Amino acid sequence: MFNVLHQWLNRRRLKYEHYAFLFEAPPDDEWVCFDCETTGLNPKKAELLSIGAVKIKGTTILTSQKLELFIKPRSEIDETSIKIHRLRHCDLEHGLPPQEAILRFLHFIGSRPLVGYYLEFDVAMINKYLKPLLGITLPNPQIEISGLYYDLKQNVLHPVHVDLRFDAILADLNIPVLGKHDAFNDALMTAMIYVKMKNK
Amino acid sequence: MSVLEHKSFISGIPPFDRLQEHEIEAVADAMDIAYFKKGEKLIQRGKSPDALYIIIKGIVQELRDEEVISVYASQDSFDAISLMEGQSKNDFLVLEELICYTLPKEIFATLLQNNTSFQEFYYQDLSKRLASLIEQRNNKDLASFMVAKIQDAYIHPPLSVDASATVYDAVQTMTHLKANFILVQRGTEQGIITDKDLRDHIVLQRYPIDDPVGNIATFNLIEMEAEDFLLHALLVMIRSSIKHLIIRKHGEVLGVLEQIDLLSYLSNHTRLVAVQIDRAQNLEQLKAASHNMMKMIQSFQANGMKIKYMMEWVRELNQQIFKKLYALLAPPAVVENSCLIVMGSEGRGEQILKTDQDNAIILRDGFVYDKMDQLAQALTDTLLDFGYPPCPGRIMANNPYWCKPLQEFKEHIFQWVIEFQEPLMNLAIFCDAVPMAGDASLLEEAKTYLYDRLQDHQTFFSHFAKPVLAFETPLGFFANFIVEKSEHKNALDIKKGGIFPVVHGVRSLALEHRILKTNTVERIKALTEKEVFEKPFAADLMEALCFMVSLRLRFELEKVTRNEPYDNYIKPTKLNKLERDLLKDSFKIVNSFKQFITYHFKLDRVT
Repeated sequence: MFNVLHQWLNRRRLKYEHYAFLFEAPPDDEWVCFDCETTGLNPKKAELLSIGAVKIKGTTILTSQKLELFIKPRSEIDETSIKIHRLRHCDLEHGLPPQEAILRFLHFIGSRPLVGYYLEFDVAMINKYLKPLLGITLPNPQIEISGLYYDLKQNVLHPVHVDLRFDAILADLNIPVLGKHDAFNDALMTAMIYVKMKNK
Repeated sequence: MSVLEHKSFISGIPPFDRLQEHEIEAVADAMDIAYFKKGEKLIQRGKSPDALYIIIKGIVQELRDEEVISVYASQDSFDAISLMEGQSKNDFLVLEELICYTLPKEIFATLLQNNTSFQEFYYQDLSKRLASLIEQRNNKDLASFMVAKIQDAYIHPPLSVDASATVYDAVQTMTHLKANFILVQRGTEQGIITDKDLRDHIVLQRYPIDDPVGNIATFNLIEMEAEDFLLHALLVMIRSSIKHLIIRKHGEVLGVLEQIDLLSYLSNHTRLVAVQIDRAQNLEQLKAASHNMMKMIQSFQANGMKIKYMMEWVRELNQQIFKKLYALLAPPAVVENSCLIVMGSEGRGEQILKTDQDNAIILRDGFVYDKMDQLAQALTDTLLDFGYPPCPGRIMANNPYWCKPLQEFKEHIFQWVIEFQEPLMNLAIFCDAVPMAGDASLLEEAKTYLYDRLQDHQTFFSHFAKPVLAFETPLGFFANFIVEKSEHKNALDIKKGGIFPVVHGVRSLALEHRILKTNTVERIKALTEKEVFEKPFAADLMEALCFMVSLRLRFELEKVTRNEPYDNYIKPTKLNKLERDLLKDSFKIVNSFKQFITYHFKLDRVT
């Protein structure tokens, strides 16, 4: 109900008019899927390590125009998290400063709706850097695929348990599982899930 | 999928595996992933597609006038032809929801332009693709003996003495040279004298050692080219019961190939079987030889021997076995006055593993042998014992219908041809008959009678050719191929689906054109000479047939190894990508051959 209001406030907070394009009407039939790798699961403490994103136009996933960014962390990465995202210090040595990565990301997504799996976390991660930078949070509409999937599977009359784990959704929708879990691969698999569900 | 994964997916798929690293990179960067729902039309006939599609998951059908001509599944790409020609001749329909890469046509065109081997892939016809498969195998497995040339074996230098030299001098030269044979020159003619000749003539027949060697030498020697296959040389030796061949290169005599050197080069199984048959004195020994054939075939297959040569080998050995067997069982008078024939696949020389026996005996008119029944029974039983399974249709010599005088065979032929009586397949397999032992002219006369009855009998030919269309070509629904659901799950019957239509169609044409050859490949060649087929089509048809036969053999042998009974079922999922492509191509050729037969014999008008 307050969406319009929020949006208006958000827009007013934008520090640089140069980024007004984020508030324009999005191009028809286009979306962006994205995923982040971070040093932890708490957005307040975690640091951004990489961003993967891919555009969808209609039913085509534009892998030829993908975004894959690595970010040089501001502090040491915790060893346990290295085991999860497999990004070592040396992998990120030539990474971008976070601010530059965020700006590139904004240019890539434009005002397109964002699609993701547990998107809230990723958006919070981006906002953490975006807010000090431009004064705003991501204004783009957000589509949560686990929610879409739940609605697709759930039956109002006879409630069932819906397995919302990422791998379970991939398996159920018969989507090829890509070898490596990294930001871009996850974004791409998410895109396939979205395109497939949109056409159900 | 990171660029790396795009790359590894794409670089495993022919012809992308021929690309350079930087080209793969360009491809991976340019590809998008597209999703299509079931029932969507990807490419419409007459339209120009703007990308090459490479399937990640899902199935696509290619249709022409509602008829499925091809099916594409994971790792397949399409449609290069539409891209090259600028418009599609066919419709491409999504059969199972599809996730695929799309490669922009500009990039595809660049690849075609800049990479010759990539380009060749699309311009190659089937036989060339097969050849490249064989090449791959050779590189991978072992450079096998079946490609060995005569010149690869040891060739004795062409040492000779003059025909006027005495036997004594000749032997001295031989001893000096440590040779067990020497060539004998008589004018321009070349002969040979061997240790065995000396034994036979000098020792046993007391030919004087001071007389000219020319009188006891063997002339009219068989010559072969050094470039010819070694295996071919062995066939010639066995066929003509000789042990030495004169080898020429560029017209010059290079030397002499001796059987023992040839054999030491070849697999010991071949040698074992051929020699075993030759030496067998009784049924027990012959049976042992016959059983060794399986080992021989397995070793041939493991060595990647060409199916054509393998068939030739087995035919040759089978002939030897039957001849020997008939001689062991039948009294000389019967051998002289009858002809033992084999029919069907054995007659065509296309049986590699023993399937059912289809044999018969034609007796000379007027010849009577009171124990013929027992003889025929013994023959059938012995063959069973040797491992030739019984014919379910009882087309065997112990069935009186298939063991009788020539005149009665002619009566059958008349009924088959003129009255359409009896199962049609009786005539079909009789067309493939070849003599194995006894008097071959009896079969010849029966066949001549058959051909004379067939003059301009168009209705008959249409009727005869009809079974070509009896089975659907299994190109269809389940991931490329139509496979069985219940008993032979995920398998397809390659005989019904591909081999039989070709064999029977070619047989029908051969009958119409009075071609006496029985082997399908030879029939196709003969039909091509008579301009029934265009040359390129004939080449494709032969390759397709040989490919399907070799595929069947591979699966049969796997079943033999597991001690299971063998049949005609193969599992497409067990094939590699290139083999699946080749099988698909082969089935496409089967389909166009069926169309040809339908048109040629006007089968659409026969009910």
